Amino acid sequence: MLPWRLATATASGVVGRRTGLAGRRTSWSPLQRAPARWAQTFYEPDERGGYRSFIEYENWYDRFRLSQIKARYRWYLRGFRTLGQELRKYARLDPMEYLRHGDVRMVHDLRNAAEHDSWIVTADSDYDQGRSWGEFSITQHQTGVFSGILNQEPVKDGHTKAAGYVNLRAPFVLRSFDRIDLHDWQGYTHMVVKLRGDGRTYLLNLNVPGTFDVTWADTYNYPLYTRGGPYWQIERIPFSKFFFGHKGRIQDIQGALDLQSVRNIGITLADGVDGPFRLEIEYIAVEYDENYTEEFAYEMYGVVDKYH
Amino acid sequence: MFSMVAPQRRVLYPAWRLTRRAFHRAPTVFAVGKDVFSWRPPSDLTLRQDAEVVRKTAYFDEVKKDLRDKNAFRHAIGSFLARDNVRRAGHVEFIYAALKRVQAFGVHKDLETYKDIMNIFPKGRFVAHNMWQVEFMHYPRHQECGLDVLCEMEKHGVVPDFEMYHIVLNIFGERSIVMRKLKRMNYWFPKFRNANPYPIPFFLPNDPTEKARLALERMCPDVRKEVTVFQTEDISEALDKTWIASLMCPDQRKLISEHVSDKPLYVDGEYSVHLREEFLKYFILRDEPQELLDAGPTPAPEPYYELDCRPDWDLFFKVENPKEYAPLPTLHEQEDGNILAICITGTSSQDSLRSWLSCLARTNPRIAQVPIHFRIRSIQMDTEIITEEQAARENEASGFISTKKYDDVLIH
Repeated sequence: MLPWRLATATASGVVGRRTGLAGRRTSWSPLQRAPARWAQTFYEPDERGGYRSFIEYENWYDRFRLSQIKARYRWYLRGFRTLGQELRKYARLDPMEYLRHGDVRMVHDLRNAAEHDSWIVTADSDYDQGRSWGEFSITQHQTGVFSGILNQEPVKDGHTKAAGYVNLRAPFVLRSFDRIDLHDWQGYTHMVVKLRGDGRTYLLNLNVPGTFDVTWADTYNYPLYTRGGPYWQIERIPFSKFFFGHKGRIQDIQGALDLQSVRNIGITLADGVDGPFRLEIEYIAVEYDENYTEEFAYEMYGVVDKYH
Repeated sequence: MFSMVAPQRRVLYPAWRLTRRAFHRAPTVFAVGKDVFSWRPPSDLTLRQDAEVVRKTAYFDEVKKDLRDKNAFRHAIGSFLARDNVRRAGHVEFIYAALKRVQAFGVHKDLETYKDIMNIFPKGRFVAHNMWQVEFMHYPRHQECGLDVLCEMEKHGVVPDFEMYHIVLNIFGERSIVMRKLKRMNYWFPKFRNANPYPIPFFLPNDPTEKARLALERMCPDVRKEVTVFQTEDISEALDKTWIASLMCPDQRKLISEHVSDKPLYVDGEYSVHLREEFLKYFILRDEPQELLDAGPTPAPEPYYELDCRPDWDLFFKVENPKEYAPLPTLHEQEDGNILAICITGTSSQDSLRSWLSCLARTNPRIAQVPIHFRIRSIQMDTEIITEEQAARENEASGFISTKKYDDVLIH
């Protein structure tokens, strides 16, 4: 099944898009949030859990504008070109990549201009659930800056109990015709992030959505600790330390991350402290360390009493 | 309060999109107009309970602001219990009122206080005795209230202990969602309690200079770092009488002494740094060498695969020789400039920064000889809502996107 809804999200990638603060939106319709009761049931309306992307609020007749027809033409052209490249790559039959100790593969390297698009920032104010906002911009030194203000004041609508998150989502790996591909990190042991933070703790998310609706929101998480200050830091996080969660809740039944099924990387700020934040990223990479043999850092034994 | 809620909006979908949807997912999705969140007035029961919570906060609000501490908090709980210790009527509302006031009394990181709050629940009454009671959530409102106490602890990083386990065991029993939550907290929290490689003490010192020292020592990876605290009262020309915490390492002293005197140094700021819930502003003395500026952005390294595949003809034809020796750059020579010193001042004013430079010049005479440029911009702290027109103007001025730029973005 083609996850076309997610593909639409990538098309909207614009560097420096500000999110949040109802007034900062210009003229597209406000985003829509999911009904409160969806959060209490197992019902999943779509991959986004009922939260609508603003691109869905375009008028249907906008598709017949000349600019849209041109864009559609360019989209097909690009699609066939990349399809040709893919077919050529398959036909070339490259030898299998072998890993040596210390090998690093860049996943998102912001020093490449091609990586600057399609980073998407979302905050609770996008859905009228809070007042946080964030933005992602590129500095003159070719690094990405994720910044904004976290505000934990919930909106007084009688339902919302808590607020305060800003999320940054890295671009998808796309095959031809905007089909979403999975990252293949088989064999690598560490995730490496070169960053410059502000002393806050962020959360690194690896999305591993499965086929069925109960697995659409599956995520592996690990906190991203920053030291603050003007010095760059290189964080090496073993994949074995990522723990399994679903919609931000740690799950009881844990298991090691499958390195061939990661679809997307995200960084969340929800550390419970009001105020401005700033996280500068130069690259996200994966690394192979042959001395690191741990598969999963948490207990895997079964429990007798399933209630607890 | 009610007027803040936006009216319900309908969404127009093109016909072909709806048909495509029908093949992919359940027909309930069609009912977009009906299924969206709609605000309903709260029920009478909810209103009564909310009013009761407000009434119960009076136990805490009648304490004077300068007397609010742990003892006063315990005393407020005690006066609630003294009123009706047998039935403890309205204890759920009182617990919600107490949770609302933990931060105001400064006891939000105190485990003893959470035990006191949990102990307000009467013992034994809410314990489930058979599987039907367990399955259908015995006393749901009370269990949810107990969960909220644990959530408040979770929010402030307080880990429950064995005594807390016994309190919950006596109130809700082994088979309750409160006990599940407590056991999960006791399982997961200790794993991450010391996971931070750049640790901060759980209770921060009250002295602002000590906080600044902690922040500065935390941000510098150099082991030979030295933090000095200056008082500007020693300086005659200083207007701001305040303190300055300054970080400098021996390597940075060397970099300053080697600095060519006709090139300027920069004081950059303000930047934000967080120590748990504390928010501090720091400034940097920075040198931007011309060769760094000329070089432009850092070039992206070539992919590993390309490098590996390329034949190195030098290696093929002759013996491998080292081409050039270069000393390793120090930690303070970062890619976008050399960091020469970092400071946090009491007022973050430009005058205090001038005092900082004159303090630094005592041990680094070169600073007094070179021009120094101040590049100060304040961190945006406002979160007020601005109107649409203002936003559009601001977005245009700052180069952010407007909807016009979306014209050639393909709508799927």
